Amino acid sequence: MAVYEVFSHPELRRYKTHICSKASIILVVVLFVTVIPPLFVVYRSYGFWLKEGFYEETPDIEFKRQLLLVLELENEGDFITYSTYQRYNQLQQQNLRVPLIQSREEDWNRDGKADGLDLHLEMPLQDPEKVTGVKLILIFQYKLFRYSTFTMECMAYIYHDSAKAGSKYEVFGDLKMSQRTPLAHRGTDDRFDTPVVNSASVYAKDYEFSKIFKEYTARNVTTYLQAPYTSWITGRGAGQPFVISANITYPEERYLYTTGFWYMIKWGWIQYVSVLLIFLFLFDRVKVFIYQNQLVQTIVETPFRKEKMQ
Amino acid sequence: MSCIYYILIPLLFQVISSQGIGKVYIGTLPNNTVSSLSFNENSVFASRVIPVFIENKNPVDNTDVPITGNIVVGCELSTSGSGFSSATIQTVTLTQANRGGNVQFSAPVKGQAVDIRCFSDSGLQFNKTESISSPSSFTIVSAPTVSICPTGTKDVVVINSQNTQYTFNVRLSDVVAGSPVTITCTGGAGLTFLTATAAIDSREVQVTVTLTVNTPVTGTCSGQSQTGGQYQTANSLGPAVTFQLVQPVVALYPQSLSVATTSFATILLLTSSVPGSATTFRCRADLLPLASVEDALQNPLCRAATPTPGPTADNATDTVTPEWGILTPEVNLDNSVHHALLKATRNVGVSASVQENVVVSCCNTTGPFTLETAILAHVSLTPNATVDWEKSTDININFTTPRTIQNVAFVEVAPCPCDLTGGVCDINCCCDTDCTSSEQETFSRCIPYLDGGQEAALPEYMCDSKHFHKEDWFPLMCVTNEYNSLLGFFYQNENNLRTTQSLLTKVNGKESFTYKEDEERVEPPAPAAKNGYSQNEKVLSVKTNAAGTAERRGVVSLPQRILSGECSTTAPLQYLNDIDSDCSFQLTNAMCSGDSVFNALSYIQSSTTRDPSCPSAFSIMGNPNTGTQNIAETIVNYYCVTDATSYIKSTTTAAPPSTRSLFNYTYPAGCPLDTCGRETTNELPCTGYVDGTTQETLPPRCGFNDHYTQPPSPNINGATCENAVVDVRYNFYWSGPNILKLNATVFLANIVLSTPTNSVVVTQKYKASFVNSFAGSPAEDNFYNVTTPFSRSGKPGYDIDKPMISAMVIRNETDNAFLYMNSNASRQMALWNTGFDGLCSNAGRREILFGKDTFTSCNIYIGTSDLENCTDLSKLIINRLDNLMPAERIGRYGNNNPYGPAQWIEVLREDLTSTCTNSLEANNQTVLSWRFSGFCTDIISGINLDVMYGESGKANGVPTKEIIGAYVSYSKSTWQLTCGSGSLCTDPSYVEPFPITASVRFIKVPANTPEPKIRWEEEHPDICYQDVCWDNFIYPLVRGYTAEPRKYVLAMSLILILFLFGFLFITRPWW
Repeated sequence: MAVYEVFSHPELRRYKTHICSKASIILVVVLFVTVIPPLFVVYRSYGFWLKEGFYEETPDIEFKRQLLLVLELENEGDFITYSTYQRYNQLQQQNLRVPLIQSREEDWNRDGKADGLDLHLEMPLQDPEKVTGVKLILIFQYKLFRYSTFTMECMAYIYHDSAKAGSKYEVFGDLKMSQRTPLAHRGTDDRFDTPVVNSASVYAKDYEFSKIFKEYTARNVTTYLQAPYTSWITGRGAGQPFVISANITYPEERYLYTTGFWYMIKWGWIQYVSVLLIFLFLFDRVKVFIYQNQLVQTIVETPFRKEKMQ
Repeated sequence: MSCIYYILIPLLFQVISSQGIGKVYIGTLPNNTVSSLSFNENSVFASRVIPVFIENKNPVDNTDVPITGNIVVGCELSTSGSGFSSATIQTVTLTQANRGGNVQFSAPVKGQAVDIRCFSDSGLQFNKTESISSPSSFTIVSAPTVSICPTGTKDVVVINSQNTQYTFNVRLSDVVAGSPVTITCTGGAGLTFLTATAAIDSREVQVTVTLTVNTPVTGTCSGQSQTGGQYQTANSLGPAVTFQLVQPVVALYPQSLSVATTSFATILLLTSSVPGSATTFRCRADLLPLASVEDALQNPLCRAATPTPGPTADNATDTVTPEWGILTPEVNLDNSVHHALLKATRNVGVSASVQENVVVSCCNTTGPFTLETAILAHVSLTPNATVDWEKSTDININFTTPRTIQNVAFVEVAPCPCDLTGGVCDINCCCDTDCTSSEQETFSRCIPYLDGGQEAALPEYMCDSKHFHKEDWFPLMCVTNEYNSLLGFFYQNENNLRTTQSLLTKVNGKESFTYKEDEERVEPPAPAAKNGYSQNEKVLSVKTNAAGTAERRGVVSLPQRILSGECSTTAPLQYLNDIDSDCSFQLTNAMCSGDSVFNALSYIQSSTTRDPSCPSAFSIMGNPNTGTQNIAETIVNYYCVTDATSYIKSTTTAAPPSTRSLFNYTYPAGCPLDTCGRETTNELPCTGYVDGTTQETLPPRCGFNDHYTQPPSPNINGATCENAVVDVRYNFYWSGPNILKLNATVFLANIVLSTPTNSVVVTQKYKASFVNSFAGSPAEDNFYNVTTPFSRSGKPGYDIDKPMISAMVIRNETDNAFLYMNSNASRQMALWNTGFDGLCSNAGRREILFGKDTFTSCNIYIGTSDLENCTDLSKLIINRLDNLMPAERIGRYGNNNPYGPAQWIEVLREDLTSTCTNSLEANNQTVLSWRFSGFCTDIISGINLDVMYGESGKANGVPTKEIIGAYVSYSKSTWQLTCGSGSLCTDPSYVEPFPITASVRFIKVPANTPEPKIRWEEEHPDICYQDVCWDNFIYPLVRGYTAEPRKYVLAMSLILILFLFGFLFITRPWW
């Protein structure tokens, strides 16, 4: 009749010794060898601390209904301009012309955030006036909420120059964010919530593009208009205005951010423990080998009597 | 010989001392000299005197010596010419008894101040060179003028009615003093003026005029003092002004309209008051065919015949003529009522859809003027649109309380959803009870779904849904159901927003942006506590009225670049902010007239301008807070440019150089040179350095430039624009928060106008600079003892982008002892400053800016003949390169004492002796043979300056950048013509360009000499390679971690450790 294992359970064998004994020293050494080397293994194999992370978010962008427009005309020194800044307009008395501005921000995916801007701008022109260049600054409000509450005023710059006089300029593009430093993982961040154009100024130098761009690019976080596909349409008919039409979408983007303390500790812990488990297993076997074979002297305490064991 | 001198000189001296040296002074006895003399052009002959007195003193002991004989004293003016004060100056005879007297002058001509010096040339005691007085300023002030000041239009006085008296203002340039002034005005036929009198101490007077004709007439006024000569008719005549009757205009608004109702309203508006009694207007509305509309608008029908206003029709079937009428066709407008509402109504009902052109016209029936106007109204009427809701009795809409709609889920509010129009049959709506059965037969189909309503959209979880992005498990999880008793999906009943509060609640919390220009157009006035201008504040101007109080304030502006190089013509100037800009404009006929930037009147004018006396120009406010008491004196000098080519953009391009061209230099004859071709002496004429600065020569002054006459506006003369402004320079003198003075310079030129074939682009230049009128003690580092403001290159160390200071050592010739450092521009280190041609012969010197590594080069054009004589060529280049960088010392700091050699470091220079003497190649036959075949080796073709600087300390928290070493080295090249296979090289005049370079490099070195480094050491010990350095082992605790505040990290780490110990303590794994 065959014998089979009907049941099994582990039994606990206790090894006892003095605190000042070889067995204690072995135990302490093994403990250190178990706990410390995994830390080194994990650390020296790169990426122990997750210092930066990425997250995706659809930014909450809103066109601030502020713009600064320059139309370069063919003749030397001739241009037409308009802005929504009263003090700038005051500076440009002879070259100021008021365009028709229509804009609409649509939320196509119904997530409560606008997905794009449709801007249509018509500048009335006299027939001899020939537009050879367009420069347009649009001002947006940019908000992120997922990690830090990030707010900034930012801009999109639309420009085109052509040797041929145009009738219409169409732009299709994305308003992208460009980060120089990571964002914070929590808190309120309004470092860059400052006006792009200092519209309180009455002085010409504050409205120089070079000054506006210099101050804007000095920011660590900026936006830019990525619009490789634009179309400059020539052949303006008699009595027709010059039209600028911009379709700017606000895409979902990946943001770099610095991770918080607990996030780093958590990922460090996960890496550490996964290596520690291997060490625990190995050195447990080592300890069993040492103590079972009595390589160091210990008092062995078993749950059963000696006689029964033999 | 010398003994004769010894005898003669004391003898001469004795003669002089016995006779004394006579001197003439401008002023009065006993010793009151006068530094400035000012006369009015109209001053009486008796008062036109220059007080003088004479003295005769012994030059040795300065005692008085009696004057012998009659001394004739005369005076001379330093400058003459138009615009300067001038007069015919007579003489006066003085004696010992009568040492003081008056030199009289006649024929005074107004102008700017000139220097006057008086002298005598009579007798032994007085000669011109010794006796001439020190200069005093002599000014003939312009005679006061009288000008008419129209209130509205420029140069036009508008009179309300013919043959009635009208008063206008006349402004006097000076306050009446001494006696009243009689103002006499004259004009063409039809103008009758009454003589007015300006009382003493007044500057303005009212003159009465009567115009008897209804055509414009010109007139002008002059003044004559009743006694005395303050105002004189001859030279007080102001500019002519046109007098004309007022031209009222009547108009209907809106000027065109399109309506869809049977009545509409327009407004009849009189744009200016009509003199006399009320004017009666007669208006009518006419229904016209399109063809005759244009004619009716040009010639309003109201003039032709009296319209018959028809009765208002109640019933659409009534036939009344005319079709349209005005409810109140007769209106009276007078000086108090300028407008009237006109209501046009259709007298006939509408039975079919019509498009009508209704012309409303109004004409005056009384008054001296012909006033008429007409507008067109496009009326499109359909029978439905003609329902006059005002006549409706059964519809009683309460507009004040919102209507409550019951829950549409339970109450049938729309039994027929497609019945959109009440009382009218809606097409294809089969449940519409308004449709007759014959109309229903014409329907193409019934609008589908229950009672013609639109179907509800299918939810996305339904299996029948056609939506995009279905999940994989959609077929398993979708819902199929069937509604049997649909109550419907309804939007919640939203009430209208009738109060501001409900509106605000609705938008509450949502940031929204609108198109607006919400910046303040005018800045709020400065706080009273401020005591003047602060930096970058705008410079204000003020215009005063006759009483001398501020009438209007303005901002001083100059055209400036804005955006990407466009020009803003009215950009304000900022206090203490120097500008130097230019703008290019195409000079068209339109630009040459009116208020363009080419008009001298659009810039600041002299504060002494008095011709004409009105309108008065704006003056600079010396202090924005004290108003008119502190007006900065403004002097504007006008210069008439004779050759305006430097302001006109050239349209020709120069051809590239094709002739031999080396340097703009020839060796001075007979001067010793060293082996490298350098001058060995620094004395003229052998020195190669040209010291001294070139002063800009100003063009001649304009004839009218006497500081009293207003500059002329530009005018078109044939194809030329005359008196166009091309250059404007403002020099403000300031002290603390005040502007003390403005010296302005305006250049005018006559420029050819643009034509369609030839566009003339004029570059206007503008400069504004603020000069400090400093009155305190001079700075301790004012080594050159200058009295004007000077700029340093930094204090104490250099500032980046400021000029680097270098100098040559000037030594005593005899003992070679150090005297001082000569840091004139020609002795400093410099780089090439080439023009568009790149030629070395036209290249100037460009100063070296600290911290800017710069590379420049220029070209010499040489041919075979030059390259066959390499040594001479090389020597000339070395001479010129060393002339470009001649300095022997470089200043260590931003401002260095020229008498303190310790503040300068020596420039080390590469030794070229061996290259110059060809000691190496002298024996090398190959090199020698090359050299004689147009192939030059080791030509010095460039000079390089290396400047080492270090941070030697800190001042005010800013590192002090100090130059601690400099080294000049030379670049060598091998030159040969690259004419290749052609036969060009055989032509002796064939040339090719060769570059001569000059560069500077700034090297930052540690202030202390660093330890020599071993190559294999890590170059950047601060970088954590691959993120596994031991520094970052406890990364959250190191300083590089900035995502969390440090104290937060520390606290959390401690809590972690606490947890660990707690865990160990409870589990006790060692037990």
